[in-house]
Amino acid sequence: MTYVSFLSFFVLGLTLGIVYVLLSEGFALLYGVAGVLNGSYGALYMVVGYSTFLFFFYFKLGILASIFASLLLVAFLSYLIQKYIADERNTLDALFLTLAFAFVLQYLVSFLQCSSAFRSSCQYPAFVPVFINGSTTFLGVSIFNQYLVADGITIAILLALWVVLSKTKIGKAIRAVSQDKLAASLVGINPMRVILLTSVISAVMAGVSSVFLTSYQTLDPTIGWNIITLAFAIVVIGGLGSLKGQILASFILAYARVYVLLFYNPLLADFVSLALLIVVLLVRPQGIFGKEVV
Amino acid sequence: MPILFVVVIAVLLVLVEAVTQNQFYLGVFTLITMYAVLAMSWDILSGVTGYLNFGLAFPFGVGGYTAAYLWTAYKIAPVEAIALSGLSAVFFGFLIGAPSLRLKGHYFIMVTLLVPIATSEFLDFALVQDGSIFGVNAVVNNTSFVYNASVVIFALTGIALCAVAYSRLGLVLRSIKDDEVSAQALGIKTARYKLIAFSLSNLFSGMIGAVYVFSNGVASPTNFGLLFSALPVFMCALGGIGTIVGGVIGAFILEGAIDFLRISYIQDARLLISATLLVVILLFFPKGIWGYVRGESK
Repeated sequence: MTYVSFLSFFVLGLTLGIVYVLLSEGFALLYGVAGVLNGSYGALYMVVGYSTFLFFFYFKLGILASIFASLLLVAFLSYLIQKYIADERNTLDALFLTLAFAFVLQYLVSFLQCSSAFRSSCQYPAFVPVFINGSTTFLGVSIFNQYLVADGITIAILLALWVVLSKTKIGKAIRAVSQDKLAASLVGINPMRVILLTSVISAVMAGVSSVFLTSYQTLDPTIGWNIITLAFAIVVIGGLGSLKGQILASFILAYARVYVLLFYNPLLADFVSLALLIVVLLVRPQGIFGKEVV
Repeated sequence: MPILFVVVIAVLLVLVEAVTQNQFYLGVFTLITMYAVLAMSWDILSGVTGYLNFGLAFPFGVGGYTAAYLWTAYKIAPVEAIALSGLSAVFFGFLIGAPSLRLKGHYFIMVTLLVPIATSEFLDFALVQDGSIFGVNAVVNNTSFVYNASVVIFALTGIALCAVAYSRLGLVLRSIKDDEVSAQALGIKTARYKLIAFSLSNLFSGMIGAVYVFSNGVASPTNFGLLFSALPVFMCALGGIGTIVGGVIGAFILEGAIDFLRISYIQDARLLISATLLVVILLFFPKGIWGYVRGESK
Protein backbone atom coordinates (compact mmCIF):
# COMPACT_ATOMS: atom_id res chain seq x y z
CA MET A 1 0.00 0.00 0.00
CA THR A 2 1.63 3.21 -1.05
CA TYR A 3 1.51 6.39 0.97
CA VAL A 4 -0.96 8.14 -1.32
CA SER A 5 -3.38 5.25 -1.60
CA PHE A 6 -3.33 4.81 2.14
CA LEU A 7 -4.20 8.48 2.52
CA SER A 8 -7.00 8.28 -0.01
CA PHE A 9 -8.31 5.24 1.84
CA PHE A 10 -8.20 7.17 5.09
CA VAL A 11 -9.85 10.31 3.72
CA LEU A 12 -12.54 8.57 1.67
CA GLY A 13 -13.48 6.32 4.56
CA LEU A 14 -13.72 9.33 6.83
CA THR A 15 -15.98 11.28 4.46
CA LEU A 16 -18.27 8.31 3.91
CA GLY A 17 -18.30 7.33 7.58
CA ILE A 18 -19.48 10.75 8.71
CA VAL A 19 -22.51 10.63 6.41
CA TYR A 20 -23.24 7.08 7.64
CA VAL A 21 -23.35 8.42 11.19
CA LEU A 22 -26.00 10.95 10.20
CA LEU A 23 -27.99 8.35 8.32
CA SER A 24 -28.02 5.84 11.14
CA GLU A 25 -28.55 8.40 13.88
CA GLY A 26 -31.76 9.56 12.20
CA PHE A 27 -33.04 6.00 12.26
CA ALA A 28 -31.86 5.31 15.80
CA LEU A 29 -33.26 8.53 17.26
CA LEU A 30 -36.81 7.77 16.21
CA TYR A 31 -36.46 4.16 17.30
CA GLY A 32 -35.23 5.26 20.70
CA VAL A 33 -38.01 7.77 21.24
CA ALA A 34 -41.02 6.09 19.62
CA GLY A 35 -39.91 2.52 20.30
CA VAL A 36 -40.94 1.60 16.77
CA LEU A 37 -38.70 0.65 13.86
CA ASN A 38 -39.57 2.94 10.98
CA GLY A 39 -39.77 0.69 7.94
CA SER A 40 -40.27 3.70 5.68
CA TYR A 41 -36.94 5.29 6.55
CA GLY A 42 -35.28 4.09 3.35
CA ALA A 43 -38.26 5.17 1.30
CA LEU A 44 -38.03 8.68 2.74
CA TYR A 45 -34.40 8.76 1.66
CA MET A 46 -35.44 7.73 -1.84
CA VAL A 47 -38.28 10.27 -1.99
CA VAL A 48 -35.89 13.12 -1.16
CA GLY A 49 -33.68 12.19 -4.09
CA TYR A 50 -36.60 12.10 -6.50
CA SER A 51 -38.31 15.23 -5.25
CA THR A 52 -35.07 17.19 -5.47
CA PHE A 53 -34.80 16.05 -9.07
CA LEU A 54 -38.42 17.00 -9.68
CA PHE A 55 -38.21 20.46 -8.13
CA PHE A 56 -34.93 21.20 -9.85
CA PHE A 57 -35.62 20.02 -13.39
CA TYR A 58 -39.38 20.40 -13.75
CA PHE A 59 -40.24 23.31 -11.51
CA LYS A 60 -36.90 24.98 -12.23
CA LEU A 61 -36.31 25.98 -8.64
CA GLY A 62 -32.75 26.73 -7.67
CA ILE A 63 -30.83 23.83 -6.24
CA LEU A 64 -30.91 25.06 -2.66
CA ALA A 65 -34.63 25.82 -2.89
CA SER A 66 -35.22 22.35 -4.34
CA ILE A 67 -33.36 20.74 -1.49
CA PHE A 68 -35.26 22.71 1.13
CA ALA A 69 -38.58 21.98 -0.55
CA SER A 70 -37.72 18.27 -0.59
CA LEU A 71 -36.75 18.28 3.05
CA LEU A 72 -40.04 19.99 3.92
CA LEU A 73 -41.97 17.46 1.87
CA VAL A 74 -40.27 14.50 3.49
CA ALA A 75 -40.64 15.97 6.98
CA PHE A 76 -44.37 16.31 6.33
CA LEU A 77 -44.54 12.75 5.00
CA SER A 78 -42.74 11.44 8.05
CA TYR A 79 -45.16 13.37 10.27
CA LEU A 80 -48.11 11.77 8.49
CA ILE A 81 -46.57 8.30 8.74
CA GLN A 82 -45.94 8.69 12.44
CA LYS A 83 -49.34 10.21 13.17
CA TYR A 84 -51.64 8.02 11.12
CA ILE A 85 -49.73 4.80 10.47
CA ALA A 86 -47.24 4.03 13.20
CA ASP A 87 -48.92 5.59 16.19
CA GLU A 88 -50.52 3.67 19.07
CA ARG A 89 -49.76 0.25 17.64
CA ASN A 90 -47.65 -2.55 18.92
CA THR A 91 -44.12 -2.77 17.59
CA LEU A 92 -44.79 -5.54 15.11
CA ASP A 93 -47.90 -4.01 13.51
CA ALA A 94 -46.14 -0.67 13.21
CA LEU A 95 -43.12 -2.30 11.54
CA PHE A 96 -45.30 -4.14 9.02
CA LEU A 97 -47.38 -1.05 8.28
CA THR A 98 -44.41 1.24 7.78
CA LEU A 99 -42.71 -1.37 5.57
CA ALA A 100 -45.90 -1.69 3.52
CA PHE A 101 -46.07 2.09 3.27
CA ALA A 102 -42.49 2.09 1.98
CA PHE A 103 -43.71 -0.11 -0.86
CA VAL A 104 -46.54 2.36 -1.52
CA LEU A 105 -44.00 5.18 -1.82
CA GLN A 106 -41.71 3.09 -3.99
CA TYR A 107 -44.45 2.11 -6.44
CA LEU A 108 -45.89 5.63 -6.40
CA VAL A 109 -42.51 6.99 -7.47
CA SER A 110 -42.02 4.38 -10.18
CA PHE A 111 -45.58 5.03 -11.37
CA LEU A 112 -44.96 8.77 -11.60
CA GLN A 113 -41.55 8.29 -13.16
CA CYS A 114 -42.44 5.85 -15.85
CA SER A 115 -45.94 4.84 -16.85
CA SER A 116 -48.33 5.38 -19.71
CA ALA A 117 -49.91 8.23 -17.76
CA PHE A 118 -46.62 10.12 -17.57
CA ARG A 119 -44.84 9.01 -20.68
CA SER A 120 -42.72 12.12 -21.12
CA SER A 121 -40.77 11.58 -17.92
CA CYS A 122 -39.89 8.02 -18.82
CA GLN A 123 -36.91 8.71 -21.02
CA TYR A 124 -34.65 10.40 -18.49
CA PRO A 125 -32.95 8.61 -15.67
CA ALA A 126 -33.51 10.66 -12.54
CA PHE A 127 -30.54 11.99 -10.65
CA VAL A 128 -29.65 14.57 -8.07
CA PRO A 129 -27.25 17.07 -9.62
CA VAL A 130 -23.84 17.53 -8.08
CA PHE A 131 -24.40 21.02 -6.76
CA ILE A 132 -20.95 21.92 -5.55
CA ASN A 133 -18.44 21.55 -8.31
CA GLY A 134 -14.75 20.95 -8.29
CA SER A 135 -12.45 19.07 -6.04
CA THR A 136 -9.81 19.94 -3.51
CA THR A 137 -6.44 18.28 -3.25
CA PHE A 138 -5.72 17.52 0.33
CA LEU A 139 -2.45 15.84 1.34
CA GLY A 140 -2.13 14.54 -2.18
CA VAL A 141 -5.64 13.11 -2.22
CA SER A 142 -8.26 14.63 -4.46
CA ILE A 143 -11.70 14.86 -2.88
CA PHE A 144 -14.92 16.20 -4.35
CA ASN A 145 -15.76 19.53 -2.79
CA GLN A 146 -19.28 18.28 -2.29
CA TYR A 147 -18.02 15.58 0.04
CA LEU A 148 -16.17 18.17 2.09
CA VAL A 149 -19.29 20.32 2.35
CA ALA A 150 -21.32 17.21 3.15
CA ASP A 151 -19.03 16.37 6.03
CA GLY A 152 -19.05 19.95 7.32
CA ILE A 153 -22.84 20.14 7.26
CA THR A 154 -23.21 16.66 8.73
CA ILE A 155 -20.92 17.46 11.63
CA ALA A 156 -22.77 20.72 12.18
CA ILE A 157 -26.12 18.92 12.24
CA LEU A 158 -24.85 16.25 14.62
CA LEU A 159 -23.35 18.86 16.96
CA ALA A 160 -26.56 20.90 16.86
CA LEU A 161 -28.54 17.77 17.64
CA TRP A 162 -26.24 16.99 20.53
CA VAL A 163 -26.60 20.52 21.93
CA VAL A 164 -30.38 20.41 21.55
CA LEU A 165 -30.64 17.00 23.19
CA SER A 166 -28.40 17.79 26.12
CA LYS A 167 -29.02 21.48 26.81
CA THR A 168 -32.50 22.56 25.79
CA LYS A 169 -35.90 21.88 27.26
CA ILE A 170 -37.15 20.20 24.10
CA GLY A 171 -34.11 17.94 24.09
CA LYS A 172 -34.75 16.97 27.68
CA ALA A 173 -38.36 16.19 26.78
CA ILE A 174 -37.18 13.98 23.91
CA ARG A 175 -34.81 12.10 26.20
CA ALA A 176 -37.49 11.79 28.86
CA VAL A 177 -39.93 10.22 26.41
CA SER A 178 -37.29 7.81 25.19
CA GLN A 179 -36.67 6.70 28.78
CA ASP A 180 -40.23 6.40 30.00
CA LYS A 181 -43.31 7.60 28.16
CA LEU A 182 -45.66 7.32 31.11
CA ALA A 183 -43.38 9.13 33.54
CA ALA A 184 -42.80 11.83 30.93
CA SER A 185 -46.51 12.42 30.54
CA LEU A 186 -46.84 12.65 34.33
CA VAL A 187 -44.51 15.63 34.41
CA GLY A 188 -46.45 17.45 31.74
CA ILE A 189 -44.74 16.36 28.54
CA ASN A 190 -47.02 15.38 25.67
CA PRO A 191 -45.30 12.21 24.38
CA MET A 192 -47.29 12.26 21.14
CA ARG A 193 -45.98 15.70 20.20
CA VAL A 194 -42.43 14.79 21.14
CA ILE A 195 -42.58 11.65 19.00
CA LEU A 196 -43.97 13.58 16.04
CA LEU A 197 -41.22 16.17 16.41
CA THR A 198 -38.62 13.41 16.52
CA SER A 199 -40.03 11.79 13.41
CA VAL A 200 -39.65 15.09 11.58
CA ILE A 201 -36.05 15.48 12.76
CA SER A 202 -35.34 11.90 11.73
CA ALA A 203 -36.76 12.45 8.25
CA VAL A 204 -34.68 15.58 7.77
CA MET A 205 -31.56 13.63 8.73
CA ALA A 206 -32.41 10.94 6.18
CA GLY A 207 -33.06 13.68 3.65
CA VAL A 208 -29.77 15.48 4.17
CA SER A 209 -27.76 12.29 3.83
CA SER A 210 -29.78 11.43 0.74
CA VAL A 211 -28.99 14.77 -0.92
CA PHE A 212 -25.29 14.15 -0.46
CA LEU A 213 -25.09 10.44 -1.21
CA THR A 214 -27.45 10.28 -4.20
CA SER A 215 -25.52 12.92 -6.14
CA TYR A 216 -23.04 10.29 -7.21
CA GLN A 217 -25.42 7.64 -8.41
CA THR A 218 -28.50 7.21 -10.57
CA LEU A 219 -31.74 7.22 -8.66
CA ASP A 220 -33.85 4.14 -8.60
CA PRO A 221 -37.12 3.63 -6.69
CA THR A 222 -35.54 0.69 -4.86
CA ILE A 223 -32.45 2.44 -3.45
CA GLY A 224 -34.21 2.92 -0.13
CA TRP A 225 -33.95 -0.75 0.76
CA ASN A 226 -30.16 -0.71 0.82
CA ILE A 227 -30.29 2.40 2.96
CA ILE A 228 -32.66 1.08 5.57
CA THR A 229 -30.65 -2.15 5.72
CA LEU A 230 -27.49 -0.12 6.21
CA ALA A 231 -28.98 2.15 8.88
CA PHE A 232 -30.56 -0.77 10.72
CA ALA A 233 -27.32 -2.73 10.50
CA ILE A 234 -25.24 0.13 11.90
CA VAL A 235 -27.67 0.59 14.78
CA VAL A 236 -27.76 -3.12 15.58
CA ILE A 237 -24.00 -3.63 15.24
CA GLY A 238 -23.20 -0.61 17.36
CA GLY A 239 -25.55 -1.82 20.04
CA LEU A 240 -29.08 -0.48 20.39
CA GLY A 241 -29.04 2.83 22.21
CA SER A 242 -25.29 3.30 22.15
CA LEU A 243 -24.18 6.39 20.22
CA LYS A 244 -20.50 5.51 20.67
CA GLY A 245 -21.04 2.06 19.20
CA GLN A 246 -23.03 3.51 16.35
CA ILE A 247 -20.27 5.93 15.38
CA LEU A 248 -17.71 3.14 15.54
CA ALA A 249 -19.92 0.84 13.47
CA SER A 250 -20.43 3.57 10.86
CA PHE A 251 -16.71 3.99 10.42
CA ILE A 252 -16.01 0.25 10.39
CA LEU A 253 -18.54 -0.23 7.62
CA ALA A 254 -17.40 2.81 5.68
CA TYR A 255 -13.75 1.77 5.87
CA ALA A 256 -14.52 -1.85 4.99
CA ARG A 257 -16.42 -0.64 1.95
CA VAL A 258 -13.74 1.82 0.84
CA TYR A 259 -11.02 -0.78 1.39
CA VAL A 260 -12.70 -3.30 -0.88
CA LEU A 261 -13.51 -0.59 -3.42
CA LEU A 262 -9.95 0.71 -3.60
CA PHE A 263 -7.76 -2.31 -3.11
CA TYR A 264 -9.73 -5.40 -3.89
CA ASN A 265 -12.69 -5.52 -6.23
CA PRO A 266 -15.41 -2.87 -6.48
CA LEU A 267 -17.98 -5.51 -7.32
CA LEU A 268 -17.47 -7.17 -3.96
CA ALA A 269 -17.87 -4.00 -1.88
CA ASP A 270 -21.46 -4.72 -0.84
CA PHE A 271 -20.86 -8.39 -0.27
CA VAL A 272 -17.91 -7.86 2.04
CA SER A 273 -19.71 -5.37 4.27
CA LEU A 274 -22.75 -7.64 4.46
CA ALA A 275 -20.63 -10.69 5.29
CA LEU A 276 -18.83 -8.65 7.94
CA LEU A 277 -22.18 -7.66 9.45
CA ILE A 278 -23.39 -11.24 9.58
CA VAL A 279 -20.19 -12.40 11.26
CA VAL A 280 -20.32 -9.62 13.87
CA LEU A 281 -23.94 -10.43 14.63
CA LEU A 282 -23.23 -14.11 15.10
CA VAL A 283 -20.10 -13.59 17.20
CA ARG A 284 -21.21 -10.64 19.27
CA PRO A 285 -24.99 -10.35 18.99
CA GLN A 286 -25.37 -7.57 21.54
CA GLY A 287 -23.34 -5.25 19.32
CA ILE A 288 -20.04 -3.58 20.00
CA PHE A 289 -21.09 -1.46 22.96
CA GLY A 290 -24.58 -2.83 23.57
CA LYS A 291 -25.59 -3.77 27.06
CA GLU A 292 -28.78 -5.58 26.19
CA VAL A 293 -28.59 -9.19 27.34
CA VAL A 294 -29.30 -11.61 24.55
CA MET B 1 -60.99 -26.70 10.13
CA PRO B 2 -57.69 -25.24 8.84
CA ILE B 3 -56.78 -28.51 7.08
CA LEU B 4 -60.24 -28.61 5.53
CA PHE B 5 -59.71 -25.07 4.28
CA VAL B 6 -56.41 -26.05 2.62
CA VAL B 7 -57.98 -29.13 1.01
CA VAL B 8 -60.88 -27.07 -0.36
CA ILE B 9 -58.48 -24.52 -1.85
CA ALA B 10 -56.39 -27.31 -3.40
CA VAL B 11 -59.49 -28.90 -4.94
CA LEU B 12 -60.58 -25.50 -6.30
CA LEU B 13 -57.12 -25.04 -7.83
CA VAL B 14 -57.41 -28.43 -9.54
CA LEU B 15 -60.85 -27.41 -10.83
CA VAL B 16 -59.39 -24.22 -12.30
CA GLU B 17 -57.16 -26.33 -14.50
CA ALA B 18 -60.06 -28.57 -15.46
CA VAL B 19 -62.16 -25.56 -16.48
CA THR B 20 -59.66 -23.38 -18.31
CA GLN B 21 -56.49 -23.97 -20.26
CA ASN B 22 -55.92 -20.22 -20.54
CA GLN B 23 -52.16 -19.74 -20.06
CA PHE B 24 -52.62 -16.39 -18.36
CA TYR B 25 -54.99 -17.65 -15.68
CA LEU B 26 -52.92 -20.77 -15.06
CA GLY B 27 -49.80 -18.61 -14.75
CA VAL B 28 -51.47 -16.30 -12.26
CA PHE B 29 -52.77 -19.17 -10.16
CA THR B 30 -49.31 -20.77 -10.23
CA LEU B 31 -47.83 -17.60 -8.78
CA ILE B 32 -50.58 -17.33 -6.17
CA THR B 33 -50.01 -20.96 -5.18
CA MET B 34 -46.27 -20.43 -4.94
CA TYR B 35 -46.66 -17.41 -2.72
CA ALA B 36 -49.21 -19.28 -0.62
CA VAL B 37 -46.61 -22.00 -0.02
CA LEU B 38 -44.01 -19.38 0.90
CA ALA B 39 -46.43 -17.62 3.23
CA MET B 40 -47.33 -20.85 5.04
CA SER B 41 -43.62 -21.69 5.32
CA TRP B 42 -42.96 -18.28 6.83
CA ASP B 43 -45.79 -18.72 9.28
CA ILE B 44 -44.65 -22.04 10.75
CA LEU B 45 -41.44 -20.47 12.02
CA SER B 46 -42.17 -16.79 12.40
CA GLY B 47 -45.90 -16.65 12.96
CA VAL B 48 -45.99 -19.51 15.42
CA THR B 49 -42.72 -19.12 17.35
CA GLY B 50 -42.34 -15.35 16.98
CA TYR B 51 -38.87 -15.50 15.46
CA LEU B 52 -39.32 -13.09 12.57
CA ASN B 53 -37.60 -14.44 9.49
CA PHE B 54 -37.08 -11.65 6.94
CA GLY B 55 -35.00 -13.84 4.66
CA LEU B 56 -37.31 -16.42 3.16
CA ALA B 57 -35.67 -15.66 -0.18
CA PHE B 58 -32.64 -17.63 1.01
CA PRO B 59 -34.16 -21.14 1.04
CA PHE B 60 -36.23 -20.14 -1.98
CA GLY B 61 -33.12 -19.17 -3.95
CA VAL B 62 -31.06 -22.11 -2.69
CA GLY B 63 -33.79 -24.49 -3.79
CA GLY B 64 -33.90 -22.84 -7.18
CA TYR B 65 -30.16 -22.97 -7.72
CA THR B 66 -30.00 -26.60 -6.59
CA ALA B 67 -32.69 -27.59 -9.05
CA ALA B 68 -30.98 -25.72 -11.86
CA TYR B 69 -27.64 -27.32 -11.02
CA LEU B 70 -29.04 -30.85 -10.75
CA TRP B 71 -30.95 -30.44 -13.98
CA THR B 72 -28.02 -29.08 -16.01
CA ALA B 73 -25.14 -31.09 -14.52
CA TYR B 74 -26.74 -34.46 -13.82
CA LYS B 75 -29.88 -34.43 -15.97
CA ILE B 76 -32.00 -35.26 -12.95
CA ALA B 77 -35.70 -35.27 -13.74
CA PRO B 78 -37.68 -32.28 -12.44
CA VAL B 79 -39.69 -34.18 -9.84
CA GLU B 80 -36.62 -35.66 -8.15
CA ALA B 81 -34.80 -32.36 -8.55
CA ILE B 82 -37.62 -30.56 -6.72
CA ALA B 83 -37.48 -33.01 -3.82
CA LEU B 84 -33.68 -32.78 -3.58
CA SER B 85 -33.87 -28.98 -3.71
CA GLY B 86 -36.05 -28.99 -0.63
CA LEU B 87 -33.42 -31.06 1.20
CA SER B 88 -30.64 -28.80 0.01
CA ALA B 89 -32.52 -25.75 1.29
CA VAL B 90 -32.89 -27.50 4.66
CA PHE B 91 -29.15 -28.21 4.73
CA PHE B 92 -28.06 -24.65 3.90
CA GLY B 93 -30.76 -23.28 6.16
CA PHE B 94 -29.31 -25.37 8.96
CA LEU B 95 -25.91 -23.73 8.46
CA ILE B 96 -27.59 -20.34 8.95
CA GLY B 97 -30.20 -21.40 11.47
CA ALA B 98 -28.02 -23.27 13.93
CA PRO B 99 -25.99 -20.19 14.91
CA SER B 100 -28.68 -17.55 14.30
CA LEU B 101 -31.67 -19.08 16.07
CA ARG B 102 -30.12 -18.32 19.46
CA LEU B 103 -30.39 -14.59 18.61
CA LYS B 104 -33.53 -12.76 19.54
CA GLY B 105 -35.68 -9.93 18.27
CA HIS B 106 -33.93 -7.44 16.03
CA TYR B 107 -30.76 -9.47 15.89
CA PHE B 108 -32.51 -12.45 14.35
CA ILE B 109 -34.37 -10.19 11.91
CA MET B 110 -31.09 -8.59 10.90
CA VAL B 111 -29.23 -11.85 10.22
CA THR B 112 -32.06 -13.40 8.24
CA LEU B 113 -32.52 -10.17 6.30
CA LEU B 114 -28.84 -9.93 5.38
CA VAL B 115 -28.17 -13.54 4.38
CA PRO B 116 -30.12 -13.58 1.08
CA ILE B 117 -28.90 -10.07 0.18
CA ALA B 118 -25.28 -11.12 0.74
CA THR B 119 -25.83 -14.33 -1.23
CA SER B 120 -27.28 -12.47 -4.17
CA GLU B 121 -24.43 -9.94 -4.10
CA PHE B 122 -21.95 -12.80 -4.18
CA LEU B 123 -23.76 -14.55 -7.02
CA ASP B 124 -23.87 -11.28 -8.96
CA PHE B 125 -20.12 -11.07 -8.53
CA ALA B 126 -19.63 -14.70 -9.58
CA LEU B 127 -21.79 -14.05 -12.60
CA VAL B 128 -19.56 -11.20 -13.73
CA GLN B 129 -16.39 -13.15 -12.99
CA ASP B 130 -16.97 -16.27 -15.04
CA GLY B 131 -19.75 -15.03 -17.26
CA SER B 132 -21.82 -18.10 -16.69
CA ILE B 133 -25.35 -18.31 -15.47
CA PHE B 134 -27.11 -21.34 -14.16
CA GLY B 135 -29.67 -21.82 -16.85
CA VAL B 136 -32.16 -24.58 -17.00
CA ASN B 137 -33.73 -25.45 -20.28
CA ALA B 138 -37.32 -24.81 -19.51
CA VAL B 139 -39.40 -27.93 -19.88
CA VAL B 140 -41.12 -27.49 -23.22
CA ASN B 141 -44.74 -26.51 -22.83
CA ASN B 142 -44.32 -26.59 -19.08
CA THR B 143 -47.34 -24.62 -17.87
CA SER B 144 -49.32 -27.63 -16.78
CA PHE B 145 -46.30 -29.38 -15.20
CA VAL B 146 -45.46 -26.28 -13.20
CA TYR B 147 -49.09 -25.77 -12.26
CA ASN B 148 -49.55 -29.34 -11.12
CA ALA B 149 -46.27 -29.34 -9.24
CA SER B 150 -47.14 -26.19 -7.34
CA VAL B 151 -50.64 -27.40 -6.49
CA VAL B 152 -49.23 -30.70 -5.19
CA ILE B 153 -46.62 -28.88 -3.10
CA PHE B 154 -49.32 -26.49 -1.90
CA ALA B 155 -51.48 -29.36 -0.69
CA LEU B 156 -48.48 -31.10 0.92
CA THR B 157 -47.32 -27.94 2.64
CA GLY B 158 -50.75 -26.90 3.81
CA ILE B 159 -51.69 -30.27 5.26
CA ALA B 160 -48.28 -30.88 6.86
CA LEU B 161 -47.96 -27.42 8.38
CA CYS B 162 -51.56 -27.27 9.63
CA ALA B 163 -51.09 -30.70 11.17
CA VAL B 164 -47.94 -29.45 12.90
CA ALA B 165 -49.29 -26.09 13.99
CA TYR B 166 -52.50 -27.44 15.48
CA SER B 167 -50.89 -30.39 17.26
CA ARG B 168 -48.96 -30.79 20.50
CA LEU B 169 -45.80 -29.81 18.63
CA GLY B 170 -47.62 -26.65 17.60
CA LEU B 171 -48.44 -25.89 21.21
CA VAL B 172 -44.77 -26.28 22.11
CA LEU B 173 -43.83 -23.90 19.32
CA ARG B 174 -46.44 -21.37 20.48
CA SER B 175 -45.04 -21.56 23.99
CA ILE B 176 -41.75 -20.25 22.57
CA LYS B 177 -43.58 -17.18 21.31
CA ASP B 178 -45.37 -16.55 24.58
CA ASP B 179 -42.47 -17.05 26.94
CA GLU B 180 -39.36 -18.89 25.87
CA VAL B 181 -37.74 -18.87 29.30
CA SER B 182 -40.76 -20.45 30.97
CA ALA B 183 -40.89 -23.06 28.24
CA GLN B 184 -37.26 -23.91 28.92
CA ALA B 185 -37.97 -24.05 32.63
CA LEU B 186 -40.63 -26.66 31.91
CA GLY B 187 -37.97 -28.83 30.29
CA ILE B 188 -38.74 -28.03 26.66
CA LYS B 189 -35.61 -27.99 24.53
CA THR B 190 -36.63 -24.83 22.68
CA ALA B 191 -33.49 -24.74 20.53
CA ARG B 192 -34.38 -28.10 19.03
CA TYR B 193 -38.00 -27.15 18.33
CA LYS B 194 -37.00 -23.85 16.75
CA LEU B 195 -34.68 -25.74 14.42
CA ILE B 196 -37.47 -28.17 13.53
CA ALA B 197 -39.79 -25.30 12.62
CA PHE B 198 -37.01 -23.55 10.72
CA SER B 199 -36.20 -26.70 8.75
CA LEU B 200 -39.85 -27.32 7.87
CA SER B 201 -40.06 -23.74 6.68
CA ASN B 202 -36.94 -24.15 4.54
CA LEU B 203 -37.99 -27.53 3.13
CA PHE B 204 -41.18 -26.23 1.53
CA SER B 205 -39.71 -22.90 0.43
CA GLY B 206 -36.83 -24.75 -1.22
CA MET B 207 -39.19 -27.05 -3.09
CA ILE B 208 -41.32 -24.19 -4.34
CA GLY B 209 -38.15 -22.31 -5.27
CA ALA B 210 -37.24 -25.22 -7.53
CA VAL B 211 -40.67 -25.10 -9.15
CA TYR B 212 -40.22 -21.37 -9.72
CA VAL B 213 -36.95 -22.03 -11.53
CA PHE B 214 -38.57 -24.63 -13.75
CA SER B 215 -41.32 -22.18 -14.64
CA ASN B 216 -38.86 -19.36 -15.32
CA GLY B 217 -36.27 -21.45 -17.08
CA VAL B 218 -33.40 -19.74 -15.32
CA ALA B 219 -31.87 -19.47 -11.87
CA SER B 220 -30.38 -16.04 -11.31
CA PRO B 221 -29.38 -13.85 -8.34
CA THR B 222 -32.84 -12.24 -8.50
CA ASN B 223 -34.18 -15.49 -7.01
CA PHE B 224 -32.78 -14.16 -3.73
CA GLY B 225 -34.69 -10.89 -4.24
CA LEU B 226 -36.31 -8.84 -1.53
CA LEU B 227 -39.86 -9.49 -2.68
CA PHE B 228 -39.58 -13.23 -2.02
CA SER B 229 -38.74 -12.34 1.57
CA ALA B 230 -41.19 -9.49 1.99
CA LEU B 231 -44.37 -10.57 0.22
CA PRO B 232 -44.92 -13.76 2.30
CA VAL B 233 -44.60 -11.68 5.47
CA PHE B 234 -47.25 -9.25 4.27
CA MET B 235 -49.49 -12.09 3.12
CA CYS B 236 -49.40 -13.61 6.59
CA ALA B 237 -50.03 -10.21 8.16
CA LEU B 238 -53.03 -9.76 5.86
CA GLY B 239 -54.53 -13.14 6.55
CA GLY B 240 -53.59 -13.55 10.18
CA ILE B 241 -50.23 -14.39 11.69
CA GLY B 242 -49.72 -17.79 13.31
CA THR B 243 -52.76 -19.38 11.71
CA ILE B 244 -51.01 -21.01 8.67
CA VAL B 245 -54.16 -20.61 6.53
CA GLY B 246 -54.02 -16.84 6.95
CA GLY B 247 -51.06 -16.79 4.60
CA VAL B 248 -53.12 -18.52 1.92
CA ILE B 249 -55.84 -15.87 2.14
CA GLY B 250 -53.21 -13.16 2.03
CA ALA B 251 -51.57 -14.72 -1.02
CA PHE B 252 -54.87 -14.76 -2.89
CA ILE B 253 -55.60 -11.13 -2.04
CA LEU B 254 -52.15 -9.65 -2.60
CA GLU B 255 -50.80 -11.69 -5.50
CA GLY B 256 -54.30 -11.80 -7.00
CA ALA B 257 -54.45 -7.99 -6.87
CA ILE B 258 -50.98 -7.67 -8.37
CA ASP B 259 -51.75 -9.95 -11.31
CA PHE B 260 -55.42 -9.50 -12.07
CA LEU B 261 -55.01 -5.72 -12.27
CA ARG B 262 -53.05 -6.26 -15.48
CA ILE B 263 -55.99 -4.84 -17.40
CA SER B 264 -55.97 -1.91 -19.80
CA TYR B 265 -55.07 1.49 -18.48
CA ILE B 266 -54.65 0.72 -14.78
CA GLN B 267 -51.99 -1.91 -15.33
CA ASP B 268 -49.14 0.55 -14.79
CA ALA B 269 -50.55 1.39 -11.40
CA ARG B 270 -51.25 -2.18 -10.32
CA LEU B 271 -48.31 -2.39 -7.90
CA LEU B 272 -49.23 0.97 -6.42
CA ILE B 273 -52.85 -0.11 -6.01
CA SER B 274 -51.83 -3.43 -4.45
CA ALA B 275 -49.47 -1.78 -1.98
CA THR B 276 -52.15 0.75 -1.01
CA LEU B 277 -54.66 -2.06 -0.57
CA LEU B 278 -52.13 -3.78 1.71
CA VAL B 279 -51.72 -0.70 3.90
CA VAL B 280 -55.48 -0.16 4.12
CA ILE B 281 -56.21 -3.76 5.10
CA LEU B 282 -53.40 -3.76 7.66
CA LEU B 283 -54.76 -0.52 9.12
CA PHE B 284 -58.28 -1.81 9.55
CA PHE B 285 -57.71 -5.51 10.26
CA PRO B 286 -54.70 -5.56 12.58
CA LYS B 287 -55.32 -9.21 13.47
CA GLY B 288 -55.62 -10.28 9.86
CA ILE B 289 -58.67 -11.43 7.96
CA TRP B 290 -58.71 -14.99 9.28
CA GLY B 291 -58.37 -13.64 12.80
CA TYR B 292 -61.27 -11.26 12.13
CA VAL B 293 -63.48 -14.04 10.81
CA ARG B 294 -62.64 -16.30 13.75
CA GLY B 295 -63.20 -13.47 16.20
CA GLU B 296 -66.61 -12.69 14.73
CA SER B 297 -67.81 -16.27 14.80
CA LYS B 298 -66.99 -16.72 18.48
